Amino acid sequence: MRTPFQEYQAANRRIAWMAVLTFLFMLVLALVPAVRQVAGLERGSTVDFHRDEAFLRALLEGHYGGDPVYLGGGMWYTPLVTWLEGAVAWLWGMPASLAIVQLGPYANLLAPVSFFLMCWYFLGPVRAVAASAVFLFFIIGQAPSYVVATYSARLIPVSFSQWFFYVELVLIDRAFRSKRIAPSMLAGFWAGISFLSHAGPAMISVLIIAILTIREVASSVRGGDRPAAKARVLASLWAGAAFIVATLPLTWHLLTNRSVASNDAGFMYTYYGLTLRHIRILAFHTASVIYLIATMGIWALWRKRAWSGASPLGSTILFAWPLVAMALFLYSYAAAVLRMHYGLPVHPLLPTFHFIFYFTAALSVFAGVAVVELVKWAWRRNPAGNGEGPEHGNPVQAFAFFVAVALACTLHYPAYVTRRDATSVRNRDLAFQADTAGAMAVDLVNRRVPWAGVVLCDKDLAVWPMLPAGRHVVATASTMGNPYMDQARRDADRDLLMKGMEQPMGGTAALLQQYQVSHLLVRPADLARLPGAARWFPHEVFRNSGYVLLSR
Amino acid sequence: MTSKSPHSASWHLVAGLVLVLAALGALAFRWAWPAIPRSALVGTYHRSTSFFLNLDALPDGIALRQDGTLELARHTGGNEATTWTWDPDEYVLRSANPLWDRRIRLRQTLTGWHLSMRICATPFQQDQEEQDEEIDFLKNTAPAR
Repeated sequence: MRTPFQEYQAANRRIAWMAVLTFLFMLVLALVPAVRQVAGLERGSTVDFHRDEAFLRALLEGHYGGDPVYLGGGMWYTPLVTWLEGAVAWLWGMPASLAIVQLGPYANLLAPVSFFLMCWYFLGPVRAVAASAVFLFFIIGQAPSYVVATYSARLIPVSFSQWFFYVELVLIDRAFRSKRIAPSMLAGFWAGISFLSHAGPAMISVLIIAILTIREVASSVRGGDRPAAKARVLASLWAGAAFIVATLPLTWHLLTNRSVASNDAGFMYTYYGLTLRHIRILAFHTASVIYLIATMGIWALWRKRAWSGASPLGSTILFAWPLVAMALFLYSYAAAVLRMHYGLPVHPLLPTFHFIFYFTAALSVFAGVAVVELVKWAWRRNPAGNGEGPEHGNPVQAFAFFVAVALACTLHYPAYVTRRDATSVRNRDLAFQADTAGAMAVDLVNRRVPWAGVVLCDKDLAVWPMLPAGRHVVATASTMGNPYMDQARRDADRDLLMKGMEQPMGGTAALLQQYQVSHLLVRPADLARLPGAARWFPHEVFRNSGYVLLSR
Repeated sequence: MTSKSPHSASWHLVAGLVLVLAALGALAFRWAWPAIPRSALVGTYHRSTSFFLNLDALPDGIALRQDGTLELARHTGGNEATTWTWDPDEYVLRSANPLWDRRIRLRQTLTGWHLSMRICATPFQQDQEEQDEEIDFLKNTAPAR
């Protein structure tokens, strides 16, 4: 005969199994429309995919470490997603663009899986199910998935890299609950790995580690326990060292190239729905029930009403996470405004949406907590209920709760599959795919222009079709240019060179020589107004309905 | 005889949950991708309101005619017409006019499907997805001509 404690443990095992099953149900519901979203696509339309294709082609062609956009530049974008895409393209023999667009639904599953495990670790299985339902289906609404953390069909670094962060939160907790150095080193190393995927989650992780370190050291000093303070400082220094080592595949190139940021246009990009000028757009996306529920979750956690007590550091970490993300957002937004409108020498850390993204991920956690609290509250008011709620070793109540969550997901599902982030994105991809002349030009430029070549073209063509071709240009869009090279100078020289194609201008030959320009890409209709093109680039390499490539 | 404690609930609950989830999953997939024929779209629609979105540049109503004409009506005048076809796989209206091609799509909600129009007027194939906010157009009860 089992003791009450053994019965309690057995019941919790049933609850755990039911939580896993409900999560798998939600995962399948999310995966199916994601796979449909990329069905038949050979290339995505977003400029992020074009940039990633450039680096992927460079990797597959053996030019790892080089800049595929500017000749002589070094690697500047975080490489981990490129490694993953490169491995898939190499193993399956897929074209770069196909690997990028088709891998998304599967690789991005790591985000909800790690989110669920992280929530389980801090809050238990019942709240993890509720929070994952919010994360997968309810928080996104009609917003784009690069601003709101959720599962996305697109393998863009912002969506993929979030799974490193959710794992990192668990590792941070383990590190600060131990006196040993190894857990801290692991947390630092993992933060470094996440940096290789995207700088955003790494910045938040490092700051959380710093905050916890200061908090623990201050507490130890106040308590007169100086050895404990020293041990914590030492462990965090080791974490820092591990972080640096893990980032070397990128930072080594930056350091050896003596890279100094001079083009921060990419860092200053601000999603218009996160600006004061368009605050109504922000309100449009956030004035929803789920944000209200998330606010209730914050209150519940703050009042310790919803705390499971799994980790003594849990509440600190769960509050530090959104606070750090919001602080980084505010800094980057203020820096971008001060820089753009007042010319002050303040540098944004990243585009602001990267930090709001992680803030919304925390809101999913809080909303999940609130949902369970609301159910418990309703349970307590039910005279027939036993007042426990679904999380206290009662499988029947947990069963009812999981069925309710699954039912809510089912009812919401038609709206989910036709949300903007799925339907509109796919339709844009389909419209983009209809540009067969552009896709042909991408492949032809890649094949006919050598790696050391440089193509002169206007800004639009530098993004499409030049960027995914993985071949150098004189100047591309500032947000896609190497941040460690002089973008303004390149823009001005590109304009001068294009003017030199329109009319004879002194200095054209010298500039062509300086940038080692080997080719000119224009639209067929533009050739008539560029009489200098035939003089400087007399050989036609290819021509289709949309593009003409000439060489010197 | 011993009474059964709630903590001793058997694996039957787990098996029951599997069955419930399978049924809900089948239901979800059935609801998510309904077959909507072109004829169901024919009719007139009026624009819904939004406190947050600037809708000044949008038509107040649209009409999808049986003959393939898409009419856009504005209370300020300046009505226009173009063509429409229905892509039942992608749930989107296609048009020979690039400004209206893929700009109107079907969106499902708890209360059924609506047509949604992208507010930003740039051609859809341009990569300006940050400005993909939409407003619903609700079907009028009066029959179309």
